[in-house]
Amino acid sequence: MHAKNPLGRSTTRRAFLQQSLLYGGAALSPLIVPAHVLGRGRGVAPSNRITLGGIGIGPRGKQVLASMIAEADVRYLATCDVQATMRDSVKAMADEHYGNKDCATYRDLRELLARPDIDAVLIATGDRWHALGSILAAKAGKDVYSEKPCGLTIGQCQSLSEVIQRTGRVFQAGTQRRNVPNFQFAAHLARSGKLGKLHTLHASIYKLECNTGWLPAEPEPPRDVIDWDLWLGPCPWRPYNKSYVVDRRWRGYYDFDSGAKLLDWGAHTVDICQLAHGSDDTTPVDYEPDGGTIHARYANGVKLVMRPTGWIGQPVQAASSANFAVGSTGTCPVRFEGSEGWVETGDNGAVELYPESLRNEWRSFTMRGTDPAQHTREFLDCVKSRGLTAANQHVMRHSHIACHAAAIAWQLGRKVKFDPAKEEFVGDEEANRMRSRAMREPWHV
Amino acid sequence: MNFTTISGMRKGGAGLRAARVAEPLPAPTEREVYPPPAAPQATRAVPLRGKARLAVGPCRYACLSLCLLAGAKIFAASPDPQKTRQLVAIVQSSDDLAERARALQQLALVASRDAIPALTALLADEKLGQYARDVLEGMPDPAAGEALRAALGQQKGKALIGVVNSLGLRRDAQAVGALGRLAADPAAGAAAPALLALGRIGTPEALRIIEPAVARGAAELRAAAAEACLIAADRQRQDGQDAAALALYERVRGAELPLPLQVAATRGAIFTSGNRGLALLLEQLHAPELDRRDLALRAIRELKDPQVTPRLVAELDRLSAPMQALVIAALVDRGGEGALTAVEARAKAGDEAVRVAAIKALGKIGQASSLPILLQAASTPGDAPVADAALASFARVPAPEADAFVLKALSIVEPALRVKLIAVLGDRKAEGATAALMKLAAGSDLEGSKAAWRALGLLARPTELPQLIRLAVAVQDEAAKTLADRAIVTTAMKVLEPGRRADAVLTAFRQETDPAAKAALARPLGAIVRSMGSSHEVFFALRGALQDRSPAVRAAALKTLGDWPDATPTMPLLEIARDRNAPAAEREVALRGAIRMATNVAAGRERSPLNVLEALTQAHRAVSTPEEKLMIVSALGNLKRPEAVALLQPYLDDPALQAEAGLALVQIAPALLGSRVAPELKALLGRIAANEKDEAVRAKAARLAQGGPAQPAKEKGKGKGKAAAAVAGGPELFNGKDLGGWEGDPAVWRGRDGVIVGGSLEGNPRNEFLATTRRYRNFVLKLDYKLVGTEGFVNGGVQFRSVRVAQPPNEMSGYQADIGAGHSGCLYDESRRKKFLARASDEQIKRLEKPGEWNRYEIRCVGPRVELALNGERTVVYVEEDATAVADGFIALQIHGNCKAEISFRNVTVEELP
Repeated sequence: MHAKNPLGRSTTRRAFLQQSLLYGGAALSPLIVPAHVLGRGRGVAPSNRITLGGIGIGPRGKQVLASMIAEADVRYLATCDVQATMRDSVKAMADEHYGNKDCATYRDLRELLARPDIDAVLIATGDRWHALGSILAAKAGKDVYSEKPCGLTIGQCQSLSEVIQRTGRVFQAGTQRRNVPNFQFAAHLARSGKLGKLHTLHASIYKLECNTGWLPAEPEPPRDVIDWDLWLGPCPWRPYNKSYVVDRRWRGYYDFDSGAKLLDWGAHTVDICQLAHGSDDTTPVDYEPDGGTIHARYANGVKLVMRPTGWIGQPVQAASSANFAVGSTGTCPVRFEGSEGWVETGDNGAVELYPESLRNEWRSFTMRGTDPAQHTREFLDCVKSRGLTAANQHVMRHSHIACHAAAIAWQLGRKVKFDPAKEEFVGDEEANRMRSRAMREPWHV
Repeated sequence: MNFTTISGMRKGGAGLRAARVAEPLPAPTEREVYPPPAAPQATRAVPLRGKARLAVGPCRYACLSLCLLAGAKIFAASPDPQKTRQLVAIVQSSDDLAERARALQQLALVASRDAIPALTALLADEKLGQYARDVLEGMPDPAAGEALRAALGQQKGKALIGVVNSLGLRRDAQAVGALGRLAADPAAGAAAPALLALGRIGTPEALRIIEPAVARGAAELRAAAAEACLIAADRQRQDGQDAAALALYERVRGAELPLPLQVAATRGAIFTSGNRGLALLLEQLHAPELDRRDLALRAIRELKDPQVTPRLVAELDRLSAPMQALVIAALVDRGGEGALTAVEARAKAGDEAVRVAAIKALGKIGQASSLPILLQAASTPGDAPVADAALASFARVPAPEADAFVLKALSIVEPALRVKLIAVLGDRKAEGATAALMKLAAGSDLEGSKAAWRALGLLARPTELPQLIRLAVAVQDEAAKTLADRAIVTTAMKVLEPGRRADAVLTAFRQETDPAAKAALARPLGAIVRSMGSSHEVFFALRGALQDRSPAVRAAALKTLGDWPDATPTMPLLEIARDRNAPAAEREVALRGAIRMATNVAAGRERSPLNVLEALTQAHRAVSTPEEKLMIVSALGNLKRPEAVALLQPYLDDPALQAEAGLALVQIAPALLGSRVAPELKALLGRIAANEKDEAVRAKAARLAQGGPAQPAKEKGKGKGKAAAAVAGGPELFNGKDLGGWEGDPAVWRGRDGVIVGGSLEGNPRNEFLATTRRYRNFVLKLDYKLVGTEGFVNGGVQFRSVRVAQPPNEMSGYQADIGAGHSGCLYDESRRKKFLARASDEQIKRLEKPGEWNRYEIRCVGPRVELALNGERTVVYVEEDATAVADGFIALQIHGNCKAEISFRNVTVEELP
């Protein structure tokens, strides 16, 4: 049973006292207050609730959405996708959770962003839409949780960081390992000097791939089934093929994937290396490719090695044939080496280290055993408090630029030098031209 | 605009970076300065090029290399006129759209001005237009700018918008005039983009166009002009021109615009108004719009004015309670100097939400003056949020006086609070408190003593072991004894060298003269040995103690040796087992221990020089009770020696053991059918095939008797008796030897001989969990369990899709397949909804479960559906409707608190499902 609010607005945190025209001039959608907003709240007053919209929620997005929708102070109101099947599927997930049929669906994200009753958005599209989607959301007055990688190019990451800063929105990149205990612990060992003088950081990355081919053209489906033009968004035109969309096989393409697939893991692992090194405000200055590995170096001499192989417990034949590393610490391993010790850890939570005496510190590390959903909880807390998140726009900017610079070095097959203050390659017009690409009209950053 | 310099280039030179304003960043973390890098450690291969990049389609550089003349370098600095010509030729003459697109993408890196005509010709192309424009947009040569400006007059619709965007990103000052005309001509369809482009260009001429546009025209255009002003203002700030930037922000603020633009403009104004920014910030704090208040909260953390904290502190009383709480949190993020007094005042009394926020804040900024306030809050009866927040803050407050303060407080607070404050000392790692904690551990307040032992485990250093040991031997209470043992073990494990960990306890054991005390020391010795592996020194000391005059010491030594992690004590134990003068109880313990160890070796779980046949033959002569007979039969089921057949034979005639003996025989038969005892063996197999009740065993025996293999295909065993092989059902979660792959308290959980054991018949003070180190989502988990207990709430369980909770750290939250106390086979929600989600009937539980014996549990989880089965029969089905229930998590084994009980698990397998 639904009661229509006489003001035509939902009694949520945002809309309570807001009076606004909408940026962009899109029409207000009719807003219905479901009765359970007032009833089934487990003690969270509507005015303290965060309303959420989702853009491009696929398999990964659903995992993040599950942790958000589980929170008592979140209300998921609307979902947007260029694919009808996906938006229906997410609507079903939300409706089942709330026991009603209220989740709205949109094909065009601009319509969802025009709703004044939405506080924040979760962006889990493919890589190509992360930056522009986040920028549009911030300009529309929404806080943003964006899956990584947050931008397809250095230019996009810069623009995104600037827009977030200008609009004062809360931003959390989906690099949740910043809030996972074993990664925090490893970074803590490195930063606190317990490993001696830090000299090398290792970040695991995928086997890199840069594909500029096109799949064969297929007839475009009707727009309300799959909106191919909107799927492409700011990317260069190419003919439709269902494999990109329905099978989600866009990875590895220069036009759609971020940094020759380097950022798929690199956005996480390089980010943790930045944390361990205490260098969230800068990037390495040299990058040199060596097969599938990239060697980078900070101005202070510390090395950052991005590699798909060479991890503890990684089987040799797996290393040569697989796309990614799975060692004894699991996927996404990182390793920090100092003059007096080292630590390596990964997604299965195991921590390998030397010397063993450091193990006592792990036993008493305060965050032990906490759920990785902490990252989404932190975002929600910051939406309320306006504090800075762990994976905020400044942190994202630098770790992503480091990854993109490494990917550019790999694509060019040679060493490049980078100036972190100017955010330019030094004496290298070719590399500098790769910092950004024109967006397909009418889109712009 | 000069485009021949690299720094003047698009998108990254002045373009996008311009808006990177000098906002205060979060406080930078310390960075050490390192000496210059050493020589490279490894030789690196020459970087691979071009063709090394695999692709499904032809790679950009592979294509390029095909075009090259022999001898040309693959990579030259751009621009490259020769490559440009080749690529342009492809663009113009190829009829493959994909190839043309790729050529354009390569041009984007290397094009010289020779490409411009071909590119301009494509700008209107619906498919390739952007590709062409991308080349122009990124080409530093001013001729590209000319071409784009010329295109303004030629292109229409979307193509025109694209050109406008590109000119803006190039910050082309020469385009201002034309862009201004477009901005004034909505009919041309590019007015809003033109305004934005002018904002990016940001010259005085451009500003003269966009500023007035904020106040006139259609809403969409006013919004675009406003955004343009903001972009321009941000760059002015970066160039240090705050006054000019402020003028732009004020222009936007003064116009009728959507709230997000107003908010951004106000934000900019706050940071460029010098010391008037604070007043503007305060205005926002009282605004009716949530977004304005949010803007103020964010700005509190970023504004560099030293007046911020004092002014906000003064403002607190004029704010609503929720806003006070938020402002307090923001002031804490600033560092909190100057806010302490106000925060302390609010931590003492007042609106609960504000009080809790203030108490939490003290956890970050508190000083000596805050400590009495926290203590008072922690003592608040009946106000759990306040008291809990105070305890949490006590655990973290940075004041150096805190340790001593809490220590002193122990003697004046009520017992219930004392226990919590002792825990705080542990959380704070208050090493100075160790002496006081030891006094409390030895004291008469039982709860305080237990809390002190727990904290000592966290704090005590190995040098303090002798004192801990002295205190521990005097402990009377069972639960406290367990905690004391645990503290000793945990502290001993902090010794770096594994071989030295038992030293302190061993020395004490050797030197102790009082029999009761000496006997008590055998227990922590055993726990240490089980955690770190066998030690010769400890073994010899205990073996010597087997001859001690005191029966208590002998019994304790025997018990510890009986639980040894490897087979070292087997023969000495057998000596006792066969010594008819020894007390029956001792012989029993010795025999069981010996058989267990021999079985391990026989089953191949341990390598040992032990003569297993000799050991089991001796043991066989010493067995008397049915239980012992069962053990020996099970052991013989692992002994693949011809002699085993003769040893097993009498048990085949014993009706109580017939089934087990048959199973044992069938287990070793395949290895022995080629040996000298084959005829006897076959005869026995025939008997089994004829008489055995268990169908599976009968079938196996029959097949073997005929000379075939024991089983045609992988079979599931029934788990009946200890002789059953591990059942099929996925990878073993437990390797049979140690707790690798699991995490938990080693003083509580032991893993060896194929069995995980948790808890103690001496007492379990609280819930303890042994958890996997990885998470599982959908799966079938199977295991055997056995729960024995004498007092209290004899209970355990199996957690799944669970997580550890932060407070208290021994607990876990999530689904539990319950075990014991009448709840076996039922589904409970541990530390979450805290209720039974599904119950089996008492009748079914009674019928299925074998108390004190091995039972088989099966847990099946797929999506929201959870099914439990006990000994082969389903007990409950539960479908989760609450989507907040976590969909994946760790698996864990539990022994419950408040009981004297021991729980064992074996044959733990998990089969993951999609």
